[in-house]
Amino acid sequence: MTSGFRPGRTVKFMIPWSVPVGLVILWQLLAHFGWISSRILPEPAGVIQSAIRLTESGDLLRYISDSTSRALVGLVIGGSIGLVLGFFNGFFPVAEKLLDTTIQMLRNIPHLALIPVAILWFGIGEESKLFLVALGVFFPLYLNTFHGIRSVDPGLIEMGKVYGLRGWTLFWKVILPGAMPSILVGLRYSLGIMWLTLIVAETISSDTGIGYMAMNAREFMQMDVVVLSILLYALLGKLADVLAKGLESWCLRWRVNR
Amino acid sequence: MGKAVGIHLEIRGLQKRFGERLVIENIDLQVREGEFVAIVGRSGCGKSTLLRLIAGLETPTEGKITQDNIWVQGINPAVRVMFQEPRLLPWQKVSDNVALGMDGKTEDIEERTSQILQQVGLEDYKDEWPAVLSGGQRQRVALARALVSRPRLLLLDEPLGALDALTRIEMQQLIEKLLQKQGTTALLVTHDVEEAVALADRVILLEEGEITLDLPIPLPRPRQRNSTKFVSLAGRILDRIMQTSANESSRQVL
Ligand SMILES: Nc1ncnc2c1ncn2[C@@H]1O[C@H](COP(=O)(O)OP(=O)(O)OP(=O)(O)O)[C@@H](O)[C@H]1O
Ligand SMILES: [Mg+2]
Repeated sequence: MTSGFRPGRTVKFMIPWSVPVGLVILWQLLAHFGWISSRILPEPAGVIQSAIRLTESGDLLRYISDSTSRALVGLVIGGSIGLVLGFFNGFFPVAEKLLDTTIQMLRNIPHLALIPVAILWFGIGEESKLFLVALGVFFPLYLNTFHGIRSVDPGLIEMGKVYGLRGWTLFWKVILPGAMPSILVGLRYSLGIMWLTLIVAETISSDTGIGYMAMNAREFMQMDVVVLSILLYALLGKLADVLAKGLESWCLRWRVNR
Repeated sequence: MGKAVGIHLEIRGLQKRFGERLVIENIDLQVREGEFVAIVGRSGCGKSTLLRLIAGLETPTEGKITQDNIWVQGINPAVRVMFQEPRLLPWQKVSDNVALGMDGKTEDIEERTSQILQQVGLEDYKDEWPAVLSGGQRQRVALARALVSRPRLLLLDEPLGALDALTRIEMQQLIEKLLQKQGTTALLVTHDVEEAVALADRVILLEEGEITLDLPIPLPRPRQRNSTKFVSLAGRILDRIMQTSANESSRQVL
């Protein structure tokens, strides 16, 4: 960037948010002048009011934290199994021969198709949701870890061995960082699937969480709360993505553009 | 600092095949401890393969490689290789790349690392990522990494290929100085005959997987590149390379 328009820091921060904010303003105007019925879409002001009401009662915070902890616990369980299995199959061709076909077959079953099974096995409590989230995030992390390990430059591994690296040191210094770009791609995919799975699972059966809040509100025709929960999912999804991007730019800071 | 003693390398009846292709046909070679041998030859004649065999990165089809009369199979920790490509770890800073695989006290490693970086002229780059370096700078980092741990046997595969003439001569002087001080045994692959004559105690010509010339360079160091003896030795080697390739092409014509 050598010439032309050079936005300052705050302006740069605001540009990507100008579209969503503009849409909300438009929406408010349309609702205010009665162009759209409040039965179809409530006013943003109404959504904000219900957010305030639910915050004061403490429900909102509880729902958010319940959903978030489900998402994270599921991610940790499914993600770590995916990572470990990906490393394992990446390192040992025998293990890959033994397991890969099975995993590829399972991968082709949409994990959401297992919702009835999950409910029968685990009931509508926490376990069924954790199971579904873990299952959903497992595949992208497994596949990308496996691929990452396999695509580490063999020249670097050879060099590492000549320079005396063995076992764990070779893994930490050469193989893991080499596989990292691919693993992080897997993580970002997983985060998307994590929210998607959670939304579906909570909407179908739950007694707490954002999805439950939405379904409950639907029964009482509280359209503003339904919209609020959709907005919350959007914000939480965006937050997860921002964190993943931050992690990526920290882990891959050696990828300097010159 | 005690003088590290170089390895005595002995190669007998070495042969290497990749599938049908015979790359190393039959090589016998002795390298005394502390000796500096340069290997020249045309592209594809098997120079890199020979170094890889010595490093234990390839297994011979036939024959034996011994180091200090011990038959070494696999990678020997006393050997360092500088590959034809820099092979730096992109996720480690320059100084960490140089210090790779060194053991000892942290301060000691740091001191030696910064000293060698100064010698290759990159002390200002020690906290940079390899991605920001130029091709020649990366090669110098790889050279520093190979030299810093004072190996007993050093295998250099066209280490100075990407450098300009001036830096090249500087690096040649550095290699010569450090190896003499450390008593390291070294094999240097190069396509620059003048470089071979300037550095080596012996120059070997590799042709189609065989040694076809083994010429001692009895010149005192530091060597004067414009002395008559230097020029005539370099000329002899070059003539020899050209002569066989001329024969080859005339054979092809017939
Ligand atoms: N792993 C391998 N599999 C099959 N063929 C190989 C392998 N490694 C080397 N070769 C072949 O062996 C021959 C010699 O290769 P080598 O890399 O030793 O040449 P070189 O003398 O180092 O050439 P250059 O000067 O271009 O680096 C080439 O024909 C190459 O194709
Ligand atoms: Mg080569």
